[in-house]
Amino acid sequence: MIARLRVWLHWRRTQRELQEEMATHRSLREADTGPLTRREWGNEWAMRQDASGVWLWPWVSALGSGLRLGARRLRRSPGFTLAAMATLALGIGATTALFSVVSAVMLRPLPYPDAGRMVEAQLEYTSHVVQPFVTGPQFVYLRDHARSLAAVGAYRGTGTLPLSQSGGIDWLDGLYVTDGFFRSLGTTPALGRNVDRPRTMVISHDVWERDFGGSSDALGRVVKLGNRQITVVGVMPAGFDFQHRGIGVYASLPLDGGGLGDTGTNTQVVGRLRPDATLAQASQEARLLSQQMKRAGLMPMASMAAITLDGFQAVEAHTVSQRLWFLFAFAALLLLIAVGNVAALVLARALARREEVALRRALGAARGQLFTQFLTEGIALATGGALAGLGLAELAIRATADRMPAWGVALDGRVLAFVLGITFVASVGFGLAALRQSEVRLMPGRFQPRSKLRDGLLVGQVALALLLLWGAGLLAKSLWRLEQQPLGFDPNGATVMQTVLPTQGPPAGWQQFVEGVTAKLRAIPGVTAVASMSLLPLEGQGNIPGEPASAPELGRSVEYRWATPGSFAALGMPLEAGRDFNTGDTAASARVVVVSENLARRWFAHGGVPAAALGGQVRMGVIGQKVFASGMDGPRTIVGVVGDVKVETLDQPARLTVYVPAAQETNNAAWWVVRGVASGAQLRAAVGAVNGSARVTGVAPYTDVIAQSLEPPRVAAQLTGVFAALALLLSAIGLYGLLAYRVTERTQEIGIRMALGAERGNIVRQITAYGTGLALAGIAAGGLATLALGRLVGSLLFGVTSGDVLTLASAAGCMLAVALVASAVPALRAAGTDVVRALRAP
Amino acid sequence: MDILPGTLDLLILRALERGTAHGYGIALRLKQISEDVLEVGESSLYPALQRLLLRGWVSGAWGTSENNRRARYYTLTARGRKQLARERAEYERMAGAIAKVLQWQE
Repeated sequence: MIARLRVWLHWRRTQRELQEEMATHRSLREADTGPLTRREWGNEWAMRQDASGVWLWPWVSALGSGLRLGARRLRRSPGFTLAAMATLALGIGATTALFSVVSAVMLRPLPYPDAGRMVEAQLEYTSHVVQPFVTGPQFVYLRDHARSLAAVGAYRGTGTLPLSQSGGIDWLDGLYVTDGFFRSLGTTPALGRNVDRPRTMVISHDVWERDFGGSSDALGRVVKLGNRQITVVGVMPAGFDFQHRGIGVYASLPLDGGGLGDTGTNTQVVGRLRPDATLAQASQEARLLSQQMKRAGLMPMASMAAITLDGFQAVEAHTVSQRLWFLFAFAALLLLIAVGNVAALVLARALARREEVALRRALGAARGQLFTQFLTEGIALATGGALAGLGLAELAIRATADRMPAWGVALDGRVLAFVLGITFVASVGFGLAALRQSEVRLMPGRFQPRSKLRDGLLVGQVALALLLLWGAGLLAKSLWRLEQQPLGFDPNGATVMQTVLPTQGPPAGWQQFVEGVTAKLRAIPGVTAVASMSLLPLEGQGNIPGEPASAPELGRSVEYRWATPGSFAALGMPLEAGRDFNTGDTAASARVVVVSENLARRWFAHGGVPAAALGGQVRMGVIGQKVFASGMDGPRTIVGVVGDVKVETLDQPARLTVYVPAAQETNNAAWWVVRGVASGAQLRAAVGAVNGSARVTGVAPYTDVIAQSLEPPRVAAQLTGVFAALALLLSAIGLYGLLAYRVTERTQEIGIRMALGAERGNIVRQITAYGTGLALAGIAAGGLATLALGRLVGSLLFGVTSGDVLTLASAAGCMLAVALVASAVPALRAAGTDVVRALRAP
Repeated sequence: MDILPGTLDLLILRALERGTAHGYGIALRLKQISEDVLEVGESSLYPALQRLLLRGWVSGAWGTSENNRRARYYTLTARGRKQLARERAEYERMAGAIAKVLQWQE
């Protein structure tokens, strides 16, 4: 081995030495026998190659010469090389960019030790809806009874909280966590200790440096977080950021000894399996415990079926996974089409080289040697395409980086391995195809049989392109349907913003703030209406248990909002029955609610008019830290019914919603909607005039919020649209290329036929029919495939089913039209053949 | 006469047993000893020599030839000597066996 290496490194010297040695040999021999003729001495170069070749493994030398030959050939036909590489780069680029997202989101291990043993609890409803939120008491029960878990912790978002020190206020995103949280993650603070008792917190490394100067005396310091005095007990390691959420503080839960008692499904649970337990065992145990919880009255709603445990990463990835896999599949199909195009090009070239190949075989070239040459050409093509594709992918990732959450999408080792795999398969495929094609027996005469391989490739391409067109069509139609969805309110000409107060003061202070800001905003010239709610439509969900007081069995999760008087009018939500809130609704007056139309119908009207709900009573789950024995708050009387609105996304049906008067609630965060002409600066000034330390965020036209909620389906529709267009283009090029090639090949035949009196129209028809026939076969194959794939795309669609005939028909029509044009052009050119020239052609 | 397939290495090693020689010297030696029966062509001699070098059975050193030109002189190494003994024994066994078959009479 080492001897070989030494010779390889000094290859030229080895050659020189052999040359010199042989020259001496010749001179000695000539001295003995007289001058040698060329024939007597033989081919010295070949002898030297044979002698030095001893040092190479045979395949190395074959590969070397094959590579040289392949590269030379590719260099000689730059047009072919560029076209093939660009096509490949397109397919590989698209696939790689999406695969790197898949890799970052779903395949990369979580940054926790032994992350595969982490589980997340989910609450399963009788409707089979599964959500990763449980109630506080359910978590406590799970923590105290689950034996298959070594650690289990709860966490809950805090929203944005102010950290007040003498230096000023820093607004931080935080989590409330129990001590089991960090133990479940298998991570401990780099400095100090875990949260272990009420009013302690662990801070992130960033916050430690920013707000505490990175000094070790931060530990033990008491700071004000929101309206609580909390002791800093630990600092997380640098780079630790739970779920890339930009969390700055992890404050202890329970707070002040309470906080886990409320019955809202607002708690997330992460756990770690005991070393000897499996996920299946833990899941089984959780179902068993669910039965016990039900008997113990810990399932506040009849619709809560069970608590399940699932792999942590699986739960985290689920939200993005479906759409992502779909897009990835799209890109992969595009890649297949691109590879098909390049394969067709390679085949055409191989066909043209049959004579050369036959000659070389006759001269004794081994089949393996020829394959090596074709293979190296394939490798060179695929590698060039892959490199360019990687470049494209990198560009695409950079261009979209700011639109993607911090998943850390990058071209990592896994992505490179993926590209390498594609490159390898494509290289071998091209090589084999070319070899086979080049060995098609040379027929006497000039007319060649049609290449079944190329025809087959084309049919496959058309089928795939049809699939992409169909998929893109379905997504586009879904998007269109989504945009047509009635929102239930009017976002046009309205501006939204959110305000957060640093502390949650007494209810009176909160009311003053809300009323003060409302008055200031109304005073801005050009503002026609002002409203405040705890959450605005399409700004997110906030659900709690709810039930009609008279029929608790109907209970389920309802959306809960407080609203100021005039909110419904300001949002353009129609009042269907009863009244809006007014200034008469105060903390001291009767507890009233306005409900959504769907709630009124579902719980009270029973098929009648929504107004039947007026006067009815509802009870809701406990909010905040108030703990009631039953888990349900006292009854509230319905005084009005308003239209339904979309809550979180446009594709979900409107949820049952309960609105309470703002005056009967207290909070520190509020959403505002301002109708009319007002600048962001004016809005901020109005809030600042009432409370200088209030934080104002999210100032935006309401229409932007709507657009944002349409962003994921829009991006999906746009991307698939681009992919489908590329697929259409590629298959058109493929079809055109195939026909143009066959026309050139048959120029002479066509000339003879025309000389014998064939009509031009006949020639055009024949060639067009050939191309269109192939396209039709592809369309039929693709159409059949849509039947099989329908179920897979179904969950991504809205307002249209995968069996939508119109979409499929449009896709097929589009494909057929393009195929017609792509075949007509070469056909017309064939008909324009100059008979005399064609006949004289060699 | 061409060399019996598979025996070239053996013959070269045997030729070198008598002492160091360059490529032409080896060919000449084989020709003389075999009384002009064995002729080793350059096209098989040099690949064989490279193979022996690669396996470490001979070593090469540059020296000056009879006509004052640079030539590579090959020397049998200890491993080459062992290999020669092994190949020789094998060849003799094979030759004996072939002889027996040829001399066999019914």
